[in-house]
Amino acid sequence: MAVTKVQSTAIRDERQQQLIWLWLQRGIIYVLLTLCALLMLFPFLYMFMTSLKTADDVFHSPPRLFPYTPETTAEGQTIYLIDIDGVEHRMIQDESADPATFGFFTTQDNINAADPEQSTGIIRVLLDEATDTGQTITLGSTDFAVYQVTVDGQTQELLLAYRRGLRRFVDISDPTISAYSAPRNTPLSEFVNPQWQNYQSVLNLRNLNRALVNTTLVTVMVTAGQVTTSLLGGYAFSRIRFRGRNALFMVYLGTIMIPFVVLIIPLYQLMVVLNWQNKLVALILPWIFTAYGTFLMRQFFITIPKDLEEAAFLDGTSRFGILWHIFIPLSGPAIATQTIITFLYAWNSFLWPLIIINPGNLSSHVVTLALNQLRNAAASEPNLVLTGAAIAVLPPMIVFILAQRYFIEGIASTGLK
Amino acid sequence: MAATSQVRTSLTVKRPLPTVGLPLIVWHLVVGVAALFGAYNITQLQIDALEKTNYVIQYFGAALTFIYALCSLVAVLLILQVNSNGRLISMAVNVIGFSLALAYLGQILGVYEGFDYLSGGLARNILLMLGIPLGYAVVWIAWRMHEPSSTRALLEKVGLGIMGISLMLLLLASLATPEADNVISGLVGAVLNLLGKWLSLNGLLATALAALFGAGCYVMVREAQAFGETTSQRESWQGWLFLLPNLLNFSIFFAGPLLLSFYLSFTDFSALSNANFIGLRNYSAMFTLSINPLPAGVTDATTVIPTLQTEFTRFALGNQTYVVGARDPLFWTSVGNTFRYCILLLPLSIIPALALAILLNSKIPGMKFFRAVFFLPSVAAVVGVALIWKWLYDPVIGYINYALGTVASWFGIAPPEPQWLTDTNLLLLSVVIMASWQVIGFNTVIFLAGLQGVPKELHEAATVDGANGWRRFLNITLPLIAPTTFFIVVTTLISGLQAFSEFFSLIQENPTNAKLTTVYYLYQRGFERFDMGYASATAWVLFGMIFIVTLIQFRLSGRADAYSD
Repeated sequence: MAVTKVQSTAIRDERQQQLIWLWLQRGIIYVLLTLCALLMLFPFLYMFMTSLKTADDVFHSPPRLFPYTPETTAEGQTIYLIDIDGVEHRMIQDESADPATFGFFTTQDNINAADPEQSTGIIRVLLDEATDTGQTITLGSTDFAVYQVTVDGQTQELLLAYRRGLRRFVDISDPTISAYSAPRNTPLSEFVNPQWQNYQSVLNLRNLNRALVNTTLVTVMVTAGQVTTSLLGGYAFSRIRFRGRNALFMVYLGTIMIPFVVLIIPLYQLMVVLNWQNKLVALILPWIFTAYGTFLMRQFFITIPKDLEEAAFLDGTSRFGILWHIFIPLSGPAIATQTIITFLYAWNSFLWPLIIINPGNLSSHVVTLALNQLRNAAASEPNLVLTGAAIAVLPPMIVFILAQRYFIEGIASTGLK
Repeated sequence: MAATSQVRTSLTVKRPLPTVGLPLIVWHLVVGVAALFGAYNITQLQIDALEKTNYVIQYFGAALTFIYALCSLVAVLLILQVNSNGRLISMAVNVIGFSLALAYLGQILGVYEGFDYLSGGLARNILLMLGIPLGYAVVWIAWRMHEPSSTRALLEKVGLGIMGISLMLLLLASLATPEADNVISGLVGAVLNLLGKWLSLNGLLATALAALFGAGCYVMVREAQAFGETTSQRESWQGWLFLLPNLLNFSIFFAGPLLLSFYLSFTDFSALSNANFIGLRNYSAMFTLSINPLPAGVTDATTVIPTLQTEFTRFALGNQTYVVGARDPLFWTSVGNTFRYCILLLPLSIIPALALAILLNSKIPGMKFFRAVFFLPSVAAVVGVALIWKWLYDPVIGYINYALGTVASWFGIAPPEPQWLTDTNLLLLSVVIMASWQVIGFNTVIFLAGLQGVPKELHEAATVDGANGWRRFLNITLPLIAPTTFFIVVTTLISGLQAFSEFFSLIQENPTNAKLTTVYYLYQRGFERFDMGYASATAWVLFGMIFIVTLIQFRLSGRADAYSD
């Protein structure tokens, strides 16, 4: 009895240990995956946050993620944060007061002769309140004047490291509290304030709104066209036995390997001959054929069992009827895969629009072209450039998130983009 | 036995010519003669754009028209004999004629320019578009209901109705002429406009041609019995008919340009002058290289390089310096950059992808979420991504240097401040980092699919034998996913060889040639300097490189597959 009891506790302990080990392992994996995910997403996060900033805020160094704007009073005066004796006061510049000259003093040991502003142990005193002894001490190649300075009731002889004109600041709630500071080096009171209007203003820059409509139209047309031709072609290749089928199919397979740039020059000439330059049709009609999509559909159709269509065939249903009523309803995943691949390809295509659409033609350009122009047109306003990028990048992302199951599984099974 | 008797009957029993035979014969005679005349006319054409691309294209077009004419005339003879192949040829001639007539009618009616017109209209009526996502949302809610109920059906109908109506309103409003006061008069204006174009001489001619070709086709389809159609013949024409949209686009926008591109690569075609056939001179200009020793104490290389060549690079072997001269050093620079890009891209995009895939393969909940997150960068446009990275790389306000500085401060080192986008030595690395970030997710997904095919039992058996995780990875996982790895290497290589957007959108301002890839160079030669013959040759060289990579893949993938079995 006693022995079995010991054994069972031992087994339980072992199981518990295994469980702990398993959860520890999982925890580590989750931490690693989350870190990687953050790293992968960071550029997009940066893009989104920057798109909500003001142009001045983007150039803040060191970089910070959230969009800040300086706080102002009702009268429009910028509010500064000034530390007096460990208490932070919200202050504004006293416009009526003249700048006062301050001396920055320190001992001979603490002074940094090469760069006096970097000296340590600095004591700031109104220059008028210190008395010049008339002596100078030469350190390196710089002369430093010696002053008598009274600090906390004690008078010391210190060196004048440098002097500055400072502005007077007063507390917004209690005007009797004042302090002197250099406006440029004083921290501002800032708060997180997303500039949503960036999205509005960038749409009118380089006609981005028209580019969005154009891209949508082109993408929808190309996708619909490719899916249609692929369905018809895939059906013919998989189910109809006709003379020359295998030879033609081999030709199609061969074309998948051919890079687009091989076609680019004759295709450009063809567009010139047809007078399709600078027109959206040049972005649509040449792209309706896809050897790869036809191949994809054919591969999917040959997996559909033949008995399904035989009954319909005997009933005298036409081939088109069979394709429409039997094949298309069954090939939802394949159509979804092709739709999303084509959508992404059409939306993101860049080289062909760059060649065929004149940069000056703002009424028929697409988002990738608009972005390429935006980077030069608004180089001093990265916030707007990244707003444009966000607008261009968002639609494919939404489509991907909505349909990612089909997409990723399609990619994983066919292994082609 | 049965087959021979069938042949005999088809030989002996002469089928009567159907009543539609005579008009069809006349029609094909007319088409054949007209096409012959057309073929002759094409050889005499003097179109500006065609003239520049050389008469070879003109004769190619004429030859195609001539073949078409011949087919039409052959159809006449075969129809006279009531031959069923004649019927097929007649159908082909009519279908091609019908398609061309329709395309021409489209040109007259302005259908091709119509996309710009439609897009302008859509841009003006953008608010109506909101109905589509609204309707979709309703349908989406309906689909989320579990059991089929009357509410679900109703919701679905309402949603689809909203989508349909808003789409129709959007299209109608967009098609109206923009100058009109309201949509109705705008639509009337648009229709009148179209009618005006249609009622011109060319419009009516194109319509008549399309109608005649269409009628010819229709009649022939119906006369299957009269011509004794066999089942295989029936399948044949149906198969080709299904392929027709595919095939038309393939021949016009793919096969034709492909042949033309091959031809152009042997010419000195440029947008500014006529094309002359120059044989292999484009290719020889591209590939000519010379290596000459540089005499001691001489720094000016021009003395040792053959004429027409300029210095590409120099290297030292022992004490002797050699100068490499090339007819087109920029081509070699671009090829060198492309290869260096590929060599850096391969490890940077594949090793992290494999590591991520192994992490994801541990069958944990939430795996699909992470997979999607890693994939996200590869769905974004390169141009947009480059804009983000341009600011991440910024030496003053960029996060990359900020992160480097922070890490350096932990170790008490002075922060390194690499000038990512201006330092010529770093340009390539900057592009590679961005590109790897984009393709890692794609490669991870494929690796994951490969890893999921590794049988679990193998790992369990090895664990029992006492193999640790690392040993199991080296001896089981790695060999078994070799085909996947190989596939990823090849696809990454092929896309790397065609790199353009990454370089163009990230570092186009860089004045040096460090940004030149093969495609970038092709773009510059073809579309900035308009040396289109030379650019075509470059494209074919690129194709050659890709072809070699693919060929190696085919050869080796057989071996890799054998390994996994």
